[in-house]
Amino acid sequence: MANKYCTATNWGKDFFTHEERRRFYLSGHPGQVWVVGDNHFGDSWIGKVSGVSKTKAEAQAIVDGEIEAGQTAYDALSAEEQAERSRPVKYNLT
Amino acid sequence: MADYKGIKGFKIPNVSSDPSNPIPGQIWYNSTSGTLKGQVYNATGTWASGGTMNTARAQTMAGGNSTLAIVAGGAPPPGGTESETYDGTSWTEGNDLNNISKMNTGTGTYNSALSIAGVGVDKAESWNGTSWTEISDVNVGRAQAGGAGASNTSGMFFGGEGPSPWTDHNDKTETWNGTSWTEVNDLNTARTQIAGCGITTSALAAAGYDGSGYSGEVELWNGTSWTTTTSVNTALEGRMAFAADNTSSIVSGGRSPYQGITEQWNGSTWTEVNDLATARYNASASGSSANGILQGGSTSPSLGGSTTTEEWDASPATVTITTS
Repeated sequence: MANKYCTATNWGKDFFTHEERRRFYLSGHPGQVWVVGDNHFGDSWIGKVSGVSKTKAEAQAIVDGEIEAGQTAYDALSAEEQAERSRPVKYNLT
Repeated sequence: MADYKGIKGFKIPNVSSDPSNPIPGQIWYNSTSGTLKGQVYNATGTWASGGTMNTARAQTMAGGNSTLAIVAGGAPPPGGTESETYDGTSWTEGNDLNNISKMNTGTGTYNSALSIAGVGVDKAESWNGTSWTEISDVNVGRAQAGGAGASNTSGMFFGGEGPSPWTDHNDKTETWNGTSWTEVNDLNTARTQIAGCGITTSALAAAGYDGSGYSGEVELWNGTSWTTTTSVNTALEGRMAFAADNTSSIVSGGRSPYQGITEQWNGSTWTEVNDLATARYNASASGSSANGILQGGSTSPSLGGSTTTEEWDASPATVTITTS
């Protein structure tokens, strides 16, 4: 299934609802990037949250940049602090 | 062609507002919104966004459900005392814990809960809906343990790492009766970052890290002893669990590095259901398999913790019916 991509700030309650989750694929990623199922319910949700549409490459670049910043911050932690958390790892958006 | 009346024996009612207590299978036309609606079973459940916490953190204690909840303490270093309550829409800062707690275990409800131990801490505290009161110390202080319990007079915690953090993968189980902590039968597999849920007569321990790798092992507590049962589908550490008892529960998230996988337990098998919208590990969670809440945790690429909340609902729901 094809997906769309946008950035939108999660404001909390009702940013996405149970009914919306039943109607289209949705996943959140670093940099406030959202991967949204490509149907008219997903389109309506992007409008509801004032999402800024991105191409897949643009969305991936945002995510990669955030993760690289997270990796730099992780590498600067002490060994004990690193033991408490995972080093952020790059991955490909679906 | 058969019509709805021909199949069901009655017409679809035309109403100006949704019925207040629809039953699963009921269908109606809402003339105000111009939509055909129905009530459906939501057996597998979904996650929706909840209110945003005031303090970003991971591994807090947690009690309650998606309509009323409490969190306190947690990571990042050096831990904290902050306590917040949830009213189904927003989080409000409340009275703090008396002791700094990091990676503490939680049980109970929004107005009757326990915060148990943590990194280098054997302290426990009781929440009465307004304030925290220090209670008897646990026998073996541990962090990242699992917890279960219905109130501040009935709780238990199990597994975790301690008393030396990061090295001792513990199998100890302790129960709280409102007065004192008692060591009872151990877990079969010592683990840390373990997901726990249920009550003191019917609890569940799932997944974690056993000292050599990620574990998918699941154990059931019957009030006396632990029995190993069907493993979760995905072995991870730092997962979150919630349930009213050990016959039906939800286990979600985990690492490495960040997972949104959600699994539902029906008393005999684990089934993958809808993922969290935002993958995370070492969050905290509470509630029942029909109504739960999961908040905070480590979300990529944060190193300290998150403020975001997701609410789990598997109760019957009203949906808009579409035709194509």
